[in-house]
Amino acid sequence: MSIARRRLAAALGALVLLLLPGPATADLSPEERTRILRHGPWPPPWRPDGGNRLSGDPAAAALGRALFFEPRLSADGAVSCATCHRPELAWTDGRTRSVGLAPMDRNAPSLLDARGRRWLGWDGASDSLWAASLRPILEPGEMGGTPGRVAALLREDEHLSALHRALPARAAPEDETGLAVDAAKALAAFQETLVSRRTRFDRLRDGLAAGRPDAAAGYPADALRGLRLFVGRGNCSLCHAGAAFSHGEFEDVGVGYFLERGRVDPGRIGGIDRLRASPFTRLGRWNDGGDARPTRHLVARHRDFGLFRVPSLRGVAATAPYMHDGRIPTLEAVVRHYSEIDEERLHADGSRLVRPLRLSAGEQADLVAFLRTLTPE
Amino acid sequence: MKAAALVLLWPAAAAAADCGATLGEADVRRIERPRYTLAFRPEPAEFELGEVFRLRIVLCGRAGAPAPDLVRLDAWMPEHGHGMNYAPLLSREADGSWRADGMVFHMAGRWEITFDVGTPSRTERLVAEEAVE
Ligand code: HEC
Ligand code: HEC
Ligand SMILES: [Cu+2]
Repeated sequence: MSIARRRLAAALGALVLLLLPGPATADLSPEERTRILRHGPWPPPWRPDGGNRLSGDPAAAALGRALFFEPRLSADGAVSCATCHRPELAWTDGRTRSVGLAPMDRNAPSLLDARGRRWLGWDGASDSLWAASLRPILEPGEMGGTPGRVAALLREDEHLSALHRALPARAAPEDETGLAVDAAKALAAFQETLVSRRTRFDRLRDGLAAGRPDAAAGYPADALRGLRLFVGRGNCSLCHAGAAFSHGEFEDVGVGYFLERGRVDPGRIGGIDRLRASPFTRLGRWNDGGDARPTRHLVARHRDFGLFRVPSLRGVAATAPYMHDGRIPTLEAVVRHYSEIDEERLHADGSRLVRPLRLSAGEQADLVAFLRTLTPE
Repeated sequence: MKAAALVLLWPAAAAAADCGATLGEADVRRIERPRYTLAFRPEPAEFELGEVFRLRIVLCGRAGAPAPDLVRLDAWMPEHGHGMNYAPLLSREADGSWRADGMVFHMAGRWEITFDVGTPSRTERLVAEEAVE
């Protein structure tokens, strides 16, 4: 190649770089890069749940799928899991608060990625996916079922009993509770297959991890600004940490805990009570093994009152309305909430993890644009 | 041979740098006081956000002083004013060392581990600083 040609090639190369769609990532600081990389990779490696001997088993997932859409599990024969966790609504019900046999106090979370959670429910009242699947069946205002009703379906319904007989290892003894626990474990095996897809954010993140100069190609410039706020001044990553955008524990962001007529939702402190009162935990006889240490070492403290689990933000654009009681209708309003947070409402003593961020309108829009890139298109 | 020597020296007379030699070659932290040394090592050796870990702890007397007891152990994030959501269970091993099971650092940032050392009625607090990514 002649010198002139080489110069031309270099100039064209520079032009191509300039024309690449998407914002440049060159001005991200090393600290920002490190923080962004911690939100991946996705999906995370999965290990079966040692507490559920049916975990990861395809035959169990097939039974679980059938049970998930089965209204006969409920007392009135009309409520199934899918009533409140609708596949076409990202496994939520789109309501502020769910309605089963009776109105509930909480918003139905998506079931995507539920397999990775240590604590389930907004108050963490369950310590395994299988226990969190048994609870709604037995809860009087939710499905109002009984172990006897579940057992009868597995024994007598032709289709369900065939699926049940196909399990690799069945409950021993096959009494009513044993069968209901098996149904819950099969429901868990089905929900383990519900994993959220990779997103535009994941492409950016993996590009950065690989050191590609065009990592941000196709990534919106406003979302990149929002991401920098998220891991920076916004302090969002503190709680919405890691690949799942949640550290999995319980915090207070001033949403409030008052329900109508002077009732309150005690949040985590009530969840710990419910967990301890349940025979269906990792410390109980129905559990098959696995790591019970978090349950064993858990402590209840005064400050747990009114705390709720930090929700994952993957897929968040598809799961409005927001917060444990669904009181915030849109992502724009959530970001406004963090911008104007009422410090009087923060009740957990001591810790100061959130403050009003006083974001400009542009910054709020950037943060929303970023949150939208956590949802597959 | 080495093991025998350690048994002979421990706990009263072990030199500060040897304190906790039984904990392993790497990742042993030591806090020196005039009359004793506290050595500890996390297991697994790296603090992983949200993962359960345990600490192994050795207390060694210095300058002829006996080793004090480990009375209490906890951890908190001083900037955030909160501790762990899990209570460590302190227990004593047959060789006189201690272990604290069931600890979880659930948030990234600066944590302080506090060791209350002495007798139940009279303790001194030692503080170790750890960073979690
Ligand atoms: C009446 C509506 C309703 C029905 C029916 C229902 N759920 Fe839910 N589900 C909810 C609500 C509301 C929550 C949050 C509960 C809480 O925080 O205590 C929830 C929470 C969960 C969770 C915890 C998710 C997480 O990330 O913490 C799982 C798992 C779950 N449900 C599975 C099921 C299964 C399986 C069924 C059927 C056996 C079912 N649900 C039936 C409304 C419902
Ligand atoms: C102190 C920990 C903490 C910090 C910091 C934090 N969040 Fe949250 N976030 C939570 C908790 C806890 C909830 C649920 C609160 C509730 O339901 O009462 C939540 C809920 C949300 C939700 C609603 C999700 C859903 O499915 O309902 C969004 C969106 C969100 N946060 C975004 C952010 C953004 C953006 C930031 C930074 C500006 C941020 N969070 C900072 C803990 C935190
Ligand atoms: Cu903290």
